[in-house]
Amino acid sequence: MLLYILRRLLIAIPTLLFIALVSFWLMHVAPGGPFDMERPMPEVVRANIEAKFHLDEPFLTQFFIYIGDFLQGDLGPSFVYQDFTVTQLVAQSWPVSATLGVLSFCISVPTGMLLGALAALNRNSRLDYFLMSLSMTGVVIPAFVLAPVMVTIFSIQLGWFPAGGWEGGKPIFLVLPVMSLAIGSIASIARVTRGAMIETLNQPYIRTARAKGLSTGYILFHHALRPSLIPVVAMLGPAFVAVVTGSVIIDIFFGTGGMGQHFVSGALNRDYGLVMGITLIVASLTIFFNLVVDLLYTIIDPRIRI
Amino acid sequence: MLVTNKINTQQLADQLADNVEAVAGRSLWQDAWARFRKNRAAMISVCVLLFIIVCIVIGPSIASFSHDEIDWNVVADPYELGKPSLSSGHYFGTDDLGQDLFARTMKGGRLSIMVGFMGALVAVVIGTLWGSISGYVGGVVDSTMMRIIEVLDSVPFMFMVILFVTLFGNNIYLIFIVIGMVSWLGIARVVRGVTFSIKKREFIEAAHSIGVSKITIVRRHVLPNVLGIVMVYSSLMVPGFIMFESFLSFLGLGVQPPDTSWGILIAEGAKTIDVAIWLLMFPSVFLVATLFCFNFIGDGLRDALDPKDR
Amino acid sequence: MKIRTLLMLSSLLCSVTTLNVLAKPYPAGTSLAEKQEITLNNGAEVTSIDPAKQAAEPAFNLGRDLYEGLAVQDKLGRTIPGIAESWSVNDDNTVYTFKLRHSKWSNGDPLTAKDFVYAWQRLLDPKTASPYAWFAAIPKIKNSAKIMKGKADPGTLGVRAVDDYTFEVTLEQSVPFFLKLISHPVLVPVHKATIEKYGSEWTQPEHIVTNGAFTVSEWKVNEKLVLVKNPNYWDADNVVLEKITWLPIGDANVALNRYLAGEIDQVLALPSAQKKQLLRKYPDEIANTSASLGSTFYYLNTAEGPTKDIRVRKALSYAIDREILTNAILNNGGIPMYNLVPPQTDGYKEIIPEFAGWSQKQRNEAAKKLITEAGYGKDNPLRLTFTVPTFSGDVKLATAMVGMWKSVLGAQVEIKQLEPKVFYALKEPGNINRGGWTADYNEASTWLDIFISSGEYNDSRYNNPKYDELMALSKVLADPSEEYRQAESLLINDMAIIPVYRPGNDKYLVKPYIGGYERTNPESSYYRKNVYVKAH
Repeated sequence: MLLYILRRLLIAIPTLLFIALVSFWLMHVAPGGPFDMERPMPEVVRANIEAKFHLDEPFLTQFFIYIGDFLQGDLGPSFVYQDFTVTQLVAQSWPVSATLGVLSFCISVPTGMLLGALAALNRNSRLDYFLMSLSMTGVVIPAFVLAPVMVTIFSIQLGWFPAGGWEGGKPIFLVLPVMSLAIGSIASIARVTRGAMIETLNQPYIRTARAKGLSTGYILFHHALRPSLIPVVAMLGPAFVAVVTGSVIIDIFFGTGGMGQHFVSGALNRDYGLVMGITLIVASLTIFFNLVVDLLYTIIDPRIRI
Repeated sequence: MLVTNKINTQQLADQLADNVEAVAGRSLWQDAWARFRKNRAAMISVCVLLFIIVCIVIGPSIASFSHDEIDWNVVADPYELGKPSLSSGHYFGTDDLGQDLFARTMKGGRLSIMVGFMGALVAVVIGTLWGSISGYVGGVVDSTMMRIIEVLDSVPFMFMVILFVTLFGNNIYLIFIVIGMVSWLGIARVVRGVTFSIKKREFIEAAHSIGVSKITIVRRHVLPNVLGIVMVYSSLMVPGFIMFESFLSFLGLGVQPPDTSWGILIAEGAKTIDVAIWLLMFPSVFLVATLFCFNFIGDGLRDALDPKDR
Repeated sequence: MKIRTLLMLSSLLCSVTTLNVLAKPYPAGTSLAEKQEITLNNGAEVTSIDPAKQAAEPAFNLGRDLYEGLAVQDKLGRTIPGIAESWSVNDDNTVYTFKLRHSKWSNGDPLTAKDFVYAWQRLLDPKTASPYAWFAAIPKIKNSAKIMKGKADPGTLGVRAVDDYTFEVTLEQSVPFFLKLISHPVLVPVHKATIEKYGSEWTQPEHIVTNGAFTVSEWKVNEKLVLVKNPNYWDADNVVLEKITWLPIGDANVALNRYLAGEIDQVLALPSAQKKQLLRKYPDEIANTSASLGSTFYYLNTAEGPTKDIRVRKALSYAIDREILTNAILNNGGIPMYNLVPPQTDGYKEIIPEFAGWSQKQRNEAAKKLITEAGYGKDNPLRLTFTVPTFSGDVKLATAMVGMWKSVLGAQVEIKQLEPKVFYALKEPGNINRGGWTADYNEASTWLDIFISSGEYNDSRYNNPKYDELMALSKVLADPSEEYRQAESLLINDMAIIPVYRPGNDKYLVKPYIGGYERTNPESSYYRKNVYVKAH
């Protein structure tokens, strides 16, 4: 087990280097740079700025300067938000994204699984059709339609929740962003759970248990839950990363200041430092959660060996 | 959205891998088709989807306006004069530039559905090739190819796609090729698994011993079995791609006007919910119907190819 | 020139007296709200609040509240005293002497002429790498260009602290508009000790030292930036507002929602779809914002391609119905333009080309005639490429223009959309290229200098020796306005650009309890030190 974790962590190093090199290269070959503005700068001014950010060095030198700093824990300066280092920007936005992600997960996993289980137990009944159409609708409605509609209803019409802002994560500011994030994932978790549960309920040992006259609830918790968890767990790792970082739309609509918006605007602004920093953080998270998920498998299903 | 869908389908396909194997050699396709036909939701979905496809193919030619034509009569007050009406020829109304929404919805549908299909096609081709080579050849090749997948799995692809599209422009072909290229990992794994287990079965060994060539074995025995999984997998991938395209469009990274897609139309329509609901409604109806259809068809295919229900 | 200076000085004296009379920014008898706090939208996240690192508007907007330079602008855009109480100039208009008032930094340190010397040298120092360093080189401050190139030491800049409260600037030659530049937010003083102690992090809330009406208390990038009143500001007694929260909302619909939910007090850019309905629904909250000194035009490539032919250029320009573009498509108060320099530019008399007086029908007729003469027709349609950035407003406008060219000229113009950064970095413009300009200072040369043949932003590749000659001549004249007019006439007659529109007065929504925020400044230079919240 330990050896396995060690091996995975060792693979992570070249993987991260590879990702760093590819994204660094992608950004530098792309047309337009951080200092191409609506009004072009005079040559002299531009040369001074490029010298300051090492942009006048050869590509590989720039890359090694970056990696050297990175290894010392320094993500370098932001090319656009020049009053901050990338580390500071990440330190500001990471708690926002993580809070949103964790909360929406805490809501969507139990809710989604409950709905999925309900649908599976009542397979092909009206309840099943209703829940599944509902969840399919939830999957299908884009967040950029859902978010403004929620704001219109709950902030402007009813005045229950603020329409945006973060304010250090005060609960009332969290409601709408978390709901907007959670609805999509509740829906997809419900669908996956239903599928897995039906599969499990068809297994011979469940039929045996039923034949023995055990109650549905007992069967559900003692026999069916565990195996049905596997596909859900498989979703969790990458989905968690996506929620934490991919909350672009939430950041745009609710002005929460999370990492998602930093990444997208960073890419649009050619903020090389910021984009590299966030890419490497997300890549590390992805690697970490993939590992966690694989370890979780062995806990849920002891037959799985790694 | 893309990520969840990927995992979701992988799980389904994993289950299928066992099943298909078990029925190999029987008249799998006839059985499956018979069962699929009995699935009402799936059959209705096929019809609706065909109807939508017919619409978007012939729609632009029956529209009174072309998708990028500005109706100067409407421009002055698009939200009053551009309401949906049969008499003005704008069946679905117009957008704020006086462009006909009917023509744009049809035109946008072509693009959205094409993105879905092309993305899936790219993913399936790469995934199937990679997986079957890895599984069939085995040994060092197999373990190297699987290591590569493991490394690629750690790449935050959602980010890479955004990065790629931002940096290299909004070429629509590029977009779906890129999306497809980053979505083949799951399919490659599954195909490898199936190929791997089929390879070991007696009938393959028998075929091998009587001198049937490798290519024929792959064509006759391996591919048909893999095809079922691939079909289920890709039918569930298509809606994911369509949604991802709409997400990119919202960020301004999708196709550029005057070209359009359902995603763009919906993103634009969402801004005028209160003054011009038709701009959101018509494209949404088409998009939602299409996504529902693909999901039902995917579920139907899975059930049809799943012998446990028998 | 001398007379002009005197006039300026007397108008200055006037403003000084008015300021003293009107001590408080609100009319007598106004009942003020208990909480003097407002929330505003800045439209984008500011890149920096270090004056030497700012390069564009959302950042400058904050700079005006955080720092105060030698002068500021009043509500009509006139230069009025800031930290400098008065100034004078020598006989050949090359040495300006500013008398500074006794004022303090937000940490209590006295502000002296040395702070200005340090700040201006720092702005030009190549090590600072300021994107706006060139601004100090426009008025030709002695050695500024050399320092920027790294060919002279920043210490040699033509600025000097004669004593603690006398600041002297030496120019290489007389520059008539120098005084119009000194209210710009990059020319403010900065606090040397803080910068030297904290380096590039000196602007963070816990370190920053400012000399303006406000200072920073909190900054969460992409969420909000909070300014609080600076008690050490020299005119702090007359600053009513205690706190300003700036939000960086870029999406017009999101900003509108926040306004409707009561979370921001002012929404400037109303989404055009909802505009009519909003103005009808909230009549008490409508306010006007003055046109800023800007102009949107399109470069026509005069060096190569079909647009090399002046008939094609004229036809393209005539065939555009500017009324439809501004009224129906943009719906933002924009005013059709047929020339380059906005008429409200200080001391400028607008030139009116002949086609400005025609009806659109006449213009279309003329355009059709010209395009036929140029040899284009049904069998041989004019084919062009039109390069624009992917901003939705630009794309919309371009789509409409292409539609007009198609219906009037039968031209087939392909829109080439480029992601903004790609567009900015573009070295080879197509046949038609989106242009546009915002005045650096309120004088015609900021516009006309673009089109000299060696001009850096001359994407039309306009090359007319006569034009260059006129512009060169204008630099040494005391009153070059006639040369400016002749140059502009040449440019418009040659139709090197398609002038389209300039920003006009626009309506926006503001909560009725906000006072003292009249948006009348022609350069959109606004200060919040006079804003107050009425009891509500």
